[in-house]
Amino acid sequence: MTTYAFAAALFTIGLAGMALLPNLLRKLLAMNVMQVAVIVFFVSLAFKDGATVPILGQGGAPVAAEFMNPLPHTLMLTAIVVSVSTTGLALGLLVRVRSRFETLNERRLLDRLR
Amino acid sequence: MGASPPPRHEASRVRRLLGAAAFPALFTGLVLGMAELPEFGDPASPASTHVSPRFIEDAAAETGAANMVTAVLADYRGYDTLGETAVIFAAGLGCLVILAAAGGRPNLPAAGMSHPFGSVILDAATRILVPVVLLFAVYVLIHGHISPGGGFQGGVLFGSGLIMMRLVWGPAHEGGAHHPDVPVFGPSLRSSLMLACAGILGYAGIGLAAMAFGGEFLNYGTLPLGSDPAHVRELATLGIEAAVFLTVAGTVGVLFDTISIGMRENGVPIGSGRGPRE
Repeated sequence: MTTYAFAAALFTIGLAGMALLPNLLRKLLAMNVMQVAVIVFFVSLAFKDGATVPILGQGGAPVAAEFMNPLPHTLMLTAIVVSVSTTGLALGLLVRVRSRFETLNERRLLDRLR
Repeated sequence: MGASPPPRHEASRVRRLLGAAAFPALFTGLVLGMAELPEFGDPASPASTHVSPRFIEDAAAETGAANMVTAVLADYRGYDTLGETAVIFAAGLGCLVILAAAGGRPNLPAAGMSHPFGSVILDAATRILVPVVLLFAVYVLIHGHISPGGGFQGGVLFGSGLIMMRLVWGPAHEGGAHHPDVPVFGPSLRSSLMLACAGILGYAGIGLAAMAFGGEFLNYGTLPLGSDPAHVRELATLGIEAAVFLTVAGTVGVLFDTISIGMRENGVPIGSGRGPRE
């Protein structure tokens, strides 16, 4: 439960940052915090009491109760790398915005677009 | 621009306060909703009782991978991973189009920071660190079957090694301006792009090869790599992981190079937190 609440807190912080911070770069970092919250949540769903990491050791046939659920780990593994590359793409867009409008401040951008 | 009348600012302050007040409510709602979730670590939770026992109990026998995450990633959910790899590749291409290839220029500019900031200490540390990082990346890739690791992790590690070299030694094409004696090492932007293309093509190619030998797309059991099906799948999985590695490492290189080129050519200052007019 504590882990879920931690994920909820991170998610709220990230979303609040995206909505309230004026600088686009900070909004992007806040979005990353939100993504981390989702990752924490998914990985905590994979946890099982008394189970170990989903990598087979030397023992005999694997029993489901002895290993954590590998599926959320797989999904989050790709999600992390996808979030790295989407962050890169967003940074590229920010460079263009910065060079065209000479600001990343949301309110000033809106003023210039008006 | 123009000076904004004061009332508008007042209104926006009220709106911001209202907006800020919405977030504690959101947090409360999320936590209340989470109360309905199964207990943390409950082995009988739905997520742990439906597909995952099959993955845990049969993965090693069916795919030859002791690391079940790798088995699920590259074999059972091969389609999904192909899509994720394509997303990563597309992000790299998008950044290239937005920044470096704008205006249909025929030749890509030389990649790298405008000023290498390597001091003697940074240079010496990087010389020791970079080979270790790159070697460890390949180890993480190859050992991904039987220990934590795989193409995504190895690719990102490799890419971070490339970024470290670029940061400290400067542009790859201009002889490492700060330290003329440093051997220039690392792929150019064009080579990074080719690595990424080779990766995504190799991934799809392995899937198509499985079709050519009478199986389904990305169902590797039919590939003529041996008689033991689990061993065939293990080899194909390694091929998939290598393809993912190339795509991720290449894309990280493309992203870093295009962003640094874009910042240089668009006159965005590097280093100071605030631009001249902000």
